[in-house]
Amino acid sequence: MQSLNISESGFGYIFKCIGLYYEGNFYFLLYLAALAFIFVKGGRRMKEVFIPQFIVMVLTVYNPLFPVALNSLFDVNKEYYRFLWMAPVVIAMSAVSVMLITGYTKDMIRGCGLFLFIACVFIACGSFLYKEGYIISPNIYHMPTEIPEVSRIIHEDSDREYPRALFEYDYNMLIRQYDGRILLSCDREAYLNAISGNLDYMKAMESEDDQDRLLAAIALNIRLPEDVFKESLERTDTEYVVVTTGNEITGYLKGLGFKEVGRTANHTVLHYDLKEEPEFELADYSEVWSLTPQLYDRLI
Amino acid sequence: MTGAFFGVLFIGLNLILYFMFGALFMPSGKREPSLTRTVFTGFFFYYLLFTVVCIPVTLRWRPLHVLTRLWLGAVILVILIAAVRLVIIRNRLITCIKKAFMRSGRDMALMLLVAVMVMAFMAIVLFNYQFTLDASFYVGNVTTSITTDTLNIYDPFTGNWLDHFEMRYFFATFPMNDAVFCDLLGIHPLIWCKITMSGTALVLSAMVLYMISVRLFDNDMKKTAIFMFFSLLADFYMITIYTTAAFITTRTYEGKALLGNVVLPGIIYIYMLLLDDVDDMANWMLLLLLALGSPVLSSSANMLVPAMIGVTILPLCIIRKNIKVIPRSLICMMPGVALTLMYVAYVKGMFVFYTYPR
Repeated sequence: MQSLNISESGFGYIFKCIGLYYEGNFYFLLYLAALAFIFVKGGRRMKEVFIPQFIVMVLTVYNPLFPVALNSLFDVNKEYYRFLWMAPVVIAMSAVSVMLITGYTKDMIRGCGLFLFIACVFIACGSFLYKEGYIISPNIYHMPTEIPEVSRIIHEDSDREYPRALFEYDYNMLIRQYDGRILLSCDREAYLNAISGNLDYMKAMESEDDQDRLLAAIALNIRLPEDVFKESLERTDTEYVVVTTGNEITGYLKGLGFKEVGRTANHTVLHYDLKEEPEFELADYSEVWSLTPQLYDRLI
Repeated sequence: MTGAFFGVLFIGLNLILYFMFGALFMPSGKREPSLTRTVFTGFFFYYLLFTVVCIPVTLRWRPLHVLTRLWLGAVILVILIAAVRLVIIRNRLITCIKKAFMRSGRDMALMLLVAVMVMAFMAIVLFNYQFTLDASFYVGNVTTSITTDTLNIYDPFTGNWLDHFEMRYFFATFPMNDAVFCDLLGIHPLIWCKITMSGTALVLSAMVLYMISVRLFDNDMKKTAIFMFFSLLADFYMITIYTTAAFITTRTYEGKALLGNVVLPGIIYIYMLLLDDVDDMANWMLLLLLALGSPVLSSSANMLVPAMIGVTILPLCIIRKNIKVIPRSLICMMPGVALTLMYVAYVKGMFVFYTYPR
């Protein structure tokens, strides 16, 4: 969990962790209630399946001392919450639902009523996955429709097999899932760093990383001095920039020498003529293979 | 549409493959074979064997298509051996299939209801569009491998050449298996990952829940149907960015979704088997197979599987008053522990695997 730190939270870490893990739903409470029901009313088998594991988790994962001790050996800040996956929350809750519906009523109508009631509890105590709307995938690639179009525009315009481009955040994360032949100027970590408030004009100017200067413009709409930005374009071999049509940065980019080479419904593809031809070729490993022969090399 | 059709068809291909791999372990003695347990076993054995083939090819910097051809050969060999075994035990297999499907009308109707629920769940998840950040790595890695015909040599995020293999993902060869099948079948990585593998993960997740409920409720189909309904319903409502439900409904194509929704509940299933007979070595071997096969899905398994075994299986030594549970559990924890220590050594700079000979 990025927002939680074991060293800072100390023994209160596990409570905050559980709180964040189940934020917006009461399933942990329902799980505890299910365990209590199993402990009191469950048969031997039910108790053996669910209770011992819970006891061990209380002594370890749910124990306030445990994350602190573990973090002193390994950095588990980002991943401690995955230990919470071990609790069979859904299985226990569903098992108790079955016990209630089939064990406490023989009447069909009452059984159906109880079934509906428990379903309402599940719904009311949870956080619905599609609460902000269910979006149907626009195509079989599960990609915005414009991604294939943008890819086509870039490849039709470029003389190179592997053109390098820079996109706004979402398309920067999506494009290489669809098209591995479009190289990116900025990687995911640099982009996340830029949009999380860690980048401004001064930091971009002082940074030794050209990605910061490119992202300052495209992600944050910061206008750097033209010569500085052009240098970063040249050093990163960035030929294409794709922005939302109407983005204010477009005027700045055109002033630098970018030309529009294509447009989709909502995006504009801009091309920049680099001074030097970028050289990207796939590494040739044939000599490596001949130096390290393997039995299966005839399959090459 | 053709792509989508084949994407869905290949879900069946995956399940048949896992079944054939699992058929190698189908019991021929007194123990009754089980279709779901065969698929479950075969799934882990499949990925374990794939890693054994993939790692040496990767370390020697061979292209993806070499791995594809080697793996195709291995799969054909396994299928042939499995087919011979199935012919040998055909009578028991036929009995097993009859027992599974020839039930009372009421039970058949309930099984059909469960199947309909699972398919509805799958349809809702598969038709949905989700933007998830990690797809840029997991799917990007498959696309990059296909485009460059290499294995983990180019950065999925940018396409730049990498000078060393990232050990965090090196043994998690799950995406490389995706790349092999995209190479073999000529299918786009997005269709394979977001339709075929997502669908496969959803079926396996439902299958493990089904196996647990059959065990828990002594094969009572009415109780199983109710259990499955509430389990699938909960998967739509126990949603934060951290929960296993979020992974199986939004990040279904990732190895972590399988870890949280197949592996960990699978350990609970094995625990239930061991509760009935703690000395049954077949169940311990299944646990070991799971422990060996799960790091392939996600590097998080290196930590989680030993922890889950410690939390769930180890208490058996007290519950069943059997001291042998301890060494058996420790052996099953070893694969994850070994890989974790290996990763720690890498982070501390003790070794690096380069993407070129040095």
